[in-house]
Amino acid sequence: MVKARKGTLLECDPAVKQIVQDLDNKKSEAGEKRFILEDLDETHLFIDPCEVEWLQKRLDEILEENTYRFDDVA
Amino acid sequence: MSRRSTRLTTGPTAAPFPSTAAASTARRARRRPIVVESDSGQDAGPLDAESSDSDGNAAPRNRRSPLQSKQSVSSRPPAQLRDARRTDDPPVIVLSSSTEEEEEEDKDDVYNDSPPPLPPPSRRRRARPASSDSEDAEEPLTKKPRRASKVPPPQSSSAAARKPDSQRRAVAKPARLVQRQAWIFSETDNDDDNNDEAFATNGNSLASTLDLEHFGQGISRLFQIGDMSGFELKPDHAMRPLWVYGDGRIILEAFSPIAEHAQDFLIAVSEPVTRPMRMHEYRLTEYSLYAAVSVGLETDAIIEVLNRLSKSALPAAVSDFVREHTARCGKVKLVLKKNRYWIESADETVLRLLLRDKEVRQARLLGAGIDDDVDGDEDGLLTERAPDAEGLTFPGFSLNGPKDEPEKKVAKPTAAPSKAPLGPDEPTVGEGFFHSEGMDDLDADADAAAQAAAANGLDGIDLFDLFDDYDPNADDSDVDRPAAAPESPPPLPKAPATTSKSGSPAVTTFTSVITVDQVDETPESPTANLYASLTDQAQQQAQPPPATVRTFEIAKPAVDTVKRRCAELSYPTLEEYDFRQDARNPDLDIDLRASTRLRPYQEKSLSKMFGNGRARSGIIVLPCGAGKTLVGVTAACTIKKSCLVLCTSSVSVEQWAREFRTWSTVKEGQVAKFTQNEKETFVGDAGIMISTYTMMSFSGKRAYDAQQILDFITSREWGFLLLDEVHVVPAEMFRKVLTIAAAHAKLGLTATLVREDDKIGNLNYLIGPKLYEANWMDLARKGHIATVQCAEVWCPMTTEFYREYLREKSRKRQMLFVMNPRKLQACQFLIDYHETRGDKTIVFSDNVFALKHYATRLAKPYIYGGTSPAERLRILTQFQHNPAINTIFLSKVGDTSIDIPEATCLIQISSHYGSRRQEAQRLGRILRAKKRGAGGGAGVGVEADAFFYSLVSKDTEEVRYASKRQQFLIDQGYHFQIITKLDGISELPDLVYSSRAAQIELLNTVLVAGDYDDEDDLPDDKDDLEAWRYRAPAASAPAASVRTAATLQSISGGDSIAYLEFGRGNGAQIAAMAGAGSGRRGKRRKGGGR
Repeated sequence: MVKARKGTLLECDPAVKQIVQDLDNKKSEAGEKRFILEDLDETHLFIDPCEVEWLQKRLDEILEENTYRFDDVA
Repeated sequence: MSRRSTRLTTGPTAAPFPSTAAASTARRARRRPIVVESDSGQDAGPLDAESSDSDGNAAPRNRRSPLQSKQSVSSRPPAQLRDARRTDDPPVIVLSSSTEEEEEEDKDDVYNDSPPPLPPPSRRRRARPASSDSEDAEEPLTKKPRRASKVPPPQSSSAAARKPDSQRRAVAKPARLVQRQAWIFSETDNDDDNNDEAFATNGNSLASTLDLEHFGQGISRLFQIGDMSGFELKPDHAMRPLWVYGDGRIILEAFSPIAEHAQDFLIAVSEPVTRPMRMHEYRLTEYSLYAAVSVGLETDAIIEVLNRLSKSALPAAVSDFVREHTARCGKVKLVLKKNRYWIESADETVLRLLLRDKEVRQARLLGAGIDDDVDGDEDGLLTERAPDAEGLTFPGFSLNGPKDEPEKKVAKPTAAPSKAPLGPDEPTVGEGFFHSEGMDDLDADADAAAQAAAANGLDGIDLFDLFDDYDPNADDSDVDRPAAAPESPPPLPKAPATTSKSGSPAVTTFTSVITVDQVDETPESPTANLYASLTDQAQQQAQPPPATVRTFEIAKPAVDTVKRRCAELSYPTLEEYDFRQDARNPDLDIDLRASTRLRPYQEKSLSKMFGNGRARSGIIVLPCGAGKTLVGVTAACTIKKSCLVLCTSSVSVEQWAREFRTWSTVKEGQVAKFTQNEKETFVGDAGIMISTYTMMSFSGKRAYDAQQILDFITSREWGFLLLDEVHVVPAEMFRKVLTIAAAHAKLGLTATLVREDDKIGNLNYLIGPKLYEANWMDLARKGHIATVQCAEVWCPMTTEFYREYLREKSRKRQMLFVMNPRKLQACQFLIDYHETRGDKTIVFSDNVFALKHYATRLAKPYIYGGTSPAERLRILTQFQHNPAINTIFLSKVGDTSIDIPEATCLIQISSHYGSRRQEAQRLGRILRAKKRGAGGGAGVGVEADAFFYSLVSKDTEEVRYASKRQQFLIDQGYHFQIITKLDGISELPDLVYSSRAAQIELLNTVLVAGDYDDEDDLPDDKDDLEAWRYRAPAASAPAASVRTAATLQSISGGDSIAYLEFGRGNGAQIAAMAGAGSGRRGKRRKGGGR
């Protein structure tokens, strides 16, 4: 029997995919629901549309960590 | 969504600085609606979107080579470029093409021969409303040098671009020059009026719409303090290169024709903050002014010259700041003369003020031994002739005998065909000298005359006049010009050059424009006249009427108290050593070897030190590889007293000893080394002692012989204390050293006056002010140091490594991004590429596990802390001389102490977090001037002599560290290209870890590797200050066993007193003789005190 699920296709590079998967794992460890519905390939994930906004925010934060800010020295 | 995710991935990888800048610009824009009236708005829309896209997504492109960027910028009108970044702006930015045209038109008009019809005022008002499009109005803002961005500020490129244009036209129609000038200024005035209005509106809107809190972030904070809207531009502002801000920041237009001279002045009075290619930022600080005063600049002269160079009237805050900090600094000098300490000041009231202090009064010596012929007054102050440099000669400064005045000496050494100290008889390097000498003549004279002019308060002579014989093509013409300077008599060292240049049309234009406020100069022969007045000024400066100073003597034991009290009374004392009058300390008979030649900047730095004939204490900052050692040796040869040299490791001790023997005529027995392994004293009354900071400040119980030597050092009075690499030494250690060794003059040498923990502020008072700081780019251009192409290579993490990276904590993370297989591949590729080119490559890794792994895997030799000295030497010799060994791997032991002049390529695979100093020191390994054209690879990369690669694993912490590390070099004007993909890497035969299986295997190896393996290596050189510092954190790591590194001799009790008894006599002499011949093998102890 065919089962249809609503989701969002996330395209990203392999590194970001790893970050997303890591977030997913952490969520599951914390006892929450996983948001990755399906791991499609190296650069694509199928995720829960409810979490998109949260994910974007988290990714921004994480990626920002590695960015050197000019103010850091000043 | 897909677009969003793409942006997410590119976001962090975008070059950090441009993105920061863009972000803050956007932030600003959001609060500051910019609406520009437009005739044809629809043109701008798509263009905006497009350029913002490229800015945001392809930020690395901003880091392209400057030339490319420049073209791309100048192809786009400045206003457009700026506004293009503000797309986040809710109010639509509409760029008016008509405004743009008008700008173009304006520029064009400025240099047209006839005044153009001015647009009707009303239209101009409309066309230049509130803020953004008026180029002049925003000048102070847009002129901020953006640190990392290689894009020269738009204004700069356009200004630079239009200069030649003006010259060309001026050549064509010289007759109409005067008329044109008149028009220029009326036009500028006109502009100013408009700007004022624009600014008024601008300021209001700023106040009302901007949340001031946000000014603290990014570059937007520059807009608040940097808001110069209240300042009126001087009529001839285009010719003046400085923007001086109220908070002490100074922006220099480095493309300005007189920038080089302005720079010279700025180096003396302010701290360089950042010096990229076209825009330099300096900052006036308390310390920098202290330094300025100590090299003899006067308050009024500083303010005067600043004012002359500034585009607008000097902000009152700045002149107040200068007054406040120079009024007190440098007024009081502590002079050591005939071995008595004197407090000296040109200003009597200051002395009286000091004498009112109880402690100072107590310390004062009255009457005792005062010569009868000097006048005392009611306060017992003595009047003396002020010191000058008369009769002082610098060794190596001149071939033709003594000269009276240091400034002239600077110009003089060009007399001899210059020889590079590093590559003797290398004609190409000699040419490099000629390139610069013309400028240096100018510098010295300009300095002198500027001061003289300012001091005399002459309005007739403008600082700009000094530069009127500037020729934009000077660099080329200087080579053709035969060594004219040397033959001519001293007062006119560059007369031939001047006359030859005065015919140049470019010069005429420039002169006539800048001498507009000079009524008495005729445009026909301005240079000659001005030159005459200039030399007059210089001569006045050279032979001043004997000035007098007031002094009183203080008791020797109370010197420290007095110094402290003076500092507390905010009259910090400058220390000077009148070494020529010092009869008590025995002279050391050394001189520079006749073959030794100083480079112009070395002379300049020394002339700052010995400017008034006495030795000033202070710090000289020169890039690595630029010959710091020679500066030190020359200073020692000038003072000619006993000299104590302190450096950071025993390897450096060896190097210093060697350099002393190479450059100076010091005799064998006069150089003594005092390290863990060698404890010597010099023969005779005076000599040179070379030791390390750790040896000097060691607080535990010392060996008998070490104690003996230390007593020897403590008991003596040292004429000169030379401190190498001052930036690494903690302040407490310095204090200790300074109390142990009583020295009259102190000189600190360093390449990188930065520390992550800002402990260097103390140096100003411990050693002295910064006397000189060289411009790296300048030296590179003149061929004194190598031109380096820097690049950051991005290596994406493999999926498996990145997954583990995300799970691990800090320490292991480092291992993972260092051991990233793609990084290994990139490293292999680069080594391969440069070996084929004929380069000698050094690979640096802080991480020893990685070091060993990389080196083994790529089959290259490596050196780390655990490598024995013999092995090190063997590998280094092989690297230098064996054509088959072109690559070595070094751990951080190689950062400073190993001197490898052959290396032309440097690859950095792991580093000490965000240490800016380490980055600079490593770069220093390849900075030694390379023989151009040699080395086999000349044809391939003509643009650079050396290459510096930093391999960075993408999307990891390393990116952040890498950016931070680069800061120092970027401030020096270097730029890092970003390489995202190495072309041809996949075609490389036998590429390591190309299969997924191999990568996973590597991952397992890394994960299994214990913490011990990636422990930073600890060089077992006890003299090594670096090791000493790194050792502290390492101690907390769990250690499986305790290892003690020692020589067999010391383990077997050879260091004990008992051994000394046997070691005396003939054996020691034989050992000394053996040791003298062979550098490292001579490390055997040579007995205790002789």
